[in-house]
Amino acid sequence: MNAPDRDAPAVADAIRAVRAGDRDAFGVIVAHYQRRMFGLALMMTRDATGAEEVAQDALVRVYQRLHLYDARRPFSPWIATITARLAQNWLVKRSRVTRHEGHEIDPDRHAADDDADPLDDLIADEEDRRLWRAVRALPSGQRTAVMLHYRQGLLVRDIASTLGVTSGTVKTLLFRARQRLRHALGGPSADMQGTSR
Amino acid sequence: MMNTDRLDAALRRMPEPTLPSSFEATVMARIARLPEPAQTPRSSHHPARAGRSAVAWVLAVAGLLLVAGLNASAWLQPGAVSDLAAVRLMRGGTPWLSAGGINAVLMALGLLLYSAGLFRQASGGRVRTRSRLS
Repeated sequence: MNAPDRDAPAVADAIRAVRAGDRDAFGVIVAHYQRRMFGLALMMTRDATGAEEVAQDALVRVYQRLHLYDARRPFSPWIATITARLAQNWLVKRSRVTRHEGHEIDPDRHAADDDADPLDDLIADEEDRRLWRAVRALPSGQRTAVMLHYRQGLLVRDIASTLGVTSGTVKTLLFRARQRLRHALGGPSADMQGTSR
Repeated sequence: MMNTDRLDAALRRMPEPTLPSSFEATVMARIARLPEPAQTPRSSHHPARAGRSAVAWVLAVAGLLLVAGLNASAWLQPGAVSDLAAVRLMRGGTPWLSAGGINAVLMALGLLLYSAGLFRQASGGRVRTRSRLS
């Protein structure tokens, strides 16, 4: 499957320019991918501040490792993998901190119990927010698999590599996620006509 | 209940959240402070590593040839294999490898070259690193 939004020719030009030493050309890459990377980080961390931190770190990492990128392969799955790994690191780090301080141990529960929903500020449309909330309510593994597969265009085997699990596990995660989402969004009062734009 | 196709389409169409306006500027400012990154793709065929490997092969093969060559004429004599069996099985007879005088020195040199080749190759393996992301 290809990425939902294929890498733009301008991005390929920017990659070449950055590799040739033009630092400012990286602005094109930032502008093109920042929201997508932030969206992935937000879904994985379920924390707006943390997601911003992860997305920034991921873009800096992309810049530092651009010479390692294989230009024959699509760019967006590569940067999605970097973002996902940094988000995983962020979750582990936060889990250690909260355990050390004796507060919340489960980051998922922490985010779900928050009164202020960051999605209210970040997504304007109510129907879109409902979809995001449904995805956000998925268990961590299913949520990450959905984001990497549907939003970032990663193949099942690439997701498996990123998450350190087998392809079969990823397929199971996606299957269960679809089941849950269909139930969450498919009721008579929650028909998705509004999002069929 | 929503069917799979509609769900897949909705997930792919889902808009991304908006970011703080300062996000891009912050990233670019961080990048401006970084040292210059490598500008050329890293080659999987590193010249220094290839040279090291070639030297290791040359040393090891030279050592083997030297040791083998010392007794090649003896091995090619008729009955050499049965002599070897006799030495092994009956613990007697003529020693199969003669290693006296200059032969012993050359044999030691051959073994030294062979060992040098092996260790050179082994120490070269430590520098092999590869990013999981590349």
